[in-house]
Amino acid sequence: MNVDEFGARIIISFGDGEIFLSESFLLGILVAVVLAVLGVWLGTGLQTVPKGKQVISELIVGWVYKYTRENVGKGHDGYAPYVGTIFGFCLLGSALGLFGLRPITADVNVTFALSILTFLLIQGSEVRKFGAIGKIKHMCDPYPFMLPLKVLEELTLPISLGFRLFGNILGGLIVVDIWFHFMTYLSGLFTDIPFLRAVLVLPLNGFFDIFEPIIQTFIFTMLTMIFLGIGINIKKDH
Amino acid sequence: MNIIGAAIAFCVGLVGFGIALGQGKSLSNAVESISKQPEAANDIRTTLIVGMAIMETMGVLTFVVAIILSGKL
Repeated sequence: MNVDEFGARIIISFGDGEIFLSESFLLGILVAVVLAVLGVWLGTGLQTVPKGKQVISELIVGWVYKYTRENVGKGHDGYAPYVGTIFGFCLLGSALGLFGLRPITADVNVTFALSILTFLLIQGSEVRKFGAIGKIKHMCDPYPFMLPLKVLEELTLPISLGFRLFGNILGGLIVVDIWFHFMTYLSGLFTDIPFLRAVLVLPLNGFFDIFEPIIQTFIFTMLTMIFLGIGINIKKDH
Repeated sequence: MNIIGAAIAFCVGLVGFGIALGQGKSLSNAVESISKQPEAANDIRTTLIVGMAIMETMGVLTFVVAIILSGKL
């Protein structure tokens, strides 16, 4: 089996193939558009007494705000829209396997984009809260020679976040693909039609395309919020 | 197939062994504490899932290393 066949396909390439748009890029834009349209549709026609689709939208928004307030801390509701966006994008992007597409988070570029965004958000809000000098002063605490270790500690966060999401989703993709090969081989023993591929993959889809994305998205947003909360709240006494 | 294949299989198997032990221990402790204090079940569940994810990072990193290595077979 060739590992290269699991990479994202190149859809459009410009020039001599040096510059290209991959499948992940196009599907990512598709996911973003779907989420935006869904959000605008859920947010129109709001009334004082919730009815119909407004019940669902209030449920989602209220849950995201509650979840942020519990983990980042009270008075930091401004981070809830970011958390909700990341949650929706990650969840829909990882569950694309349900529609027969390649999950966009099985591409290391997408997951690293998300994790670097989180890293920049955390660093930015710390600097905004304590100032650049205050942050460096905190990193030199208790001894200045700890500074390299603290820098390393902060740089580990985006790497582990990115690789965790990527590895889990790609692992699921590979297992489903190996199962497809095996079923093709088994049904090839009887007839030419790979009929065993039809229904027997559903339990695997249920695990790798529904359960695993939910867990991984939950963990991604949870770790984002926990590190944000640590960065913002605990350093108050310095 | 050469020594790299053996190395891939060995590292994935070894890390699976370690992670299974660690996650089994944490899950058994979580079940025990939920049965002692059912009212704290939500906090325990969240901490358990996040902790297990951090443990699983080792496995996933090994998996990424294995994929990189298998390109050299």
